[in-house]
Amino acid sequence: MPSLAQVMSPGLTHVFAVEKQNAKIIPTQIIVDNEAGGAQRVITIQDVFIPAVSNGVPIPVLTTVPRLIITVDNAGWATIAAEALKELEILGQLRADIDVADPGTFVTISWGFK
Amino acid sequence: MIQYLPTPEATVGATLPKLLQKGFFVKFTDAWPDTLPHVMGKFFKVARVNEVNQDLSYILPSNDYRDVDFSNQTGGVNLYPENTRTLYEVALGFKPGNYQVQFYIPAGEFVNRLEQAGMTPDVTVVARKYLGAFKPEDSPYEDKRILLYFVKDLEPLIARTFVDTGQGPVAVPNIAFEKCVLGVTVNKCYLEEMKTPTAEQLARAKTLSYYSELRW
Repeated sequence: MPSLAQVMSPGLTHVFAVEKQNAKIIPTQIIVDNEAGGAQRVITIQDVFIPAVSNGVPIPVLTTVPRLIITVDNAGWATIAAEALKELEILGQLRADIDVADPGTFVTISWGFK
Repeated sequence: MIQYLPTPEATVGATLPKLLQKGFFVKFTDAWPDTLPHVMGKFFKVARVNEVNQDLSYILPSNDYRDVDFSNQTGGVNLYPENTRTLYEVALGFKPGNYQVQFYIPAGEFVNRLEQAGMTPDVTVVARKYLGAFKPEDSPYEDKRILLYFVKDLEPLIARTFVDTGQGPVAVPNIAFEKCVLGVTVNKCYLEEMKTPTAEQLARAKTLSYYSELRW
């Protein structure tokens, strides 16, 4: 199962996994380390994709769906394990966004496929 | 032409392979049209087979559908044979999700309907949304239970893939979506015609009905 740690700077958006076309991405663990962060931070797990053409939407557009929002206190940690994440499905690209870019905030995500 | 294998209640004796194998026999009924003279009413022996896997994947909004055309025509997914001696036996299964599939052949003509007037599948009508629908649990990806039989120049088979409601609030921009993954195994069968099959070969043959025989 892949796993990746990223510093949440520069920029507000950080791609962890691109879409696996024939499967959903299932995060199995999310760790937010804000021990060296400058302030309380808000991390949003985003699902980013372009849907297929359908009967009602002949020209689909890039779509971003927030799947999980995590608020971490200044100098705090948050760990979310598989049991709490097992129903979280990412259809397209797995991305983590932060409210303010912070070189002291680290996000680690592990994931599998279904 | 279209066959659904229900879950067996019991298994007795040696198991048989789900898909056609080398040396098996197939018989096309006389109901196949004369526009398909290469198979109409004919009897064949399967000379060789080759299984080819394919996945079809679509992210679709809830309460909406996509018509997946299995044929080789423009916009189709090209799962029909091009050789008159080839039969494609297609096993179809689904990864889990909040969606369902209803079949048409040709476009606009339902495969599964009931006899009462108007009892035809229609995903836009609440009372008939689930009529004739196959859900992922009916034919799991790992244990495909829907078998489709395609020959060259057969009319296009359409799989209306519909994402049901209940995915979340349908409010732009966070409209709810589902990922529909259709797993396909194409069992390519190369056929040798047998002009005078024996009674025993006829008895052992798999009979392939034309889709019109499923609608009465």
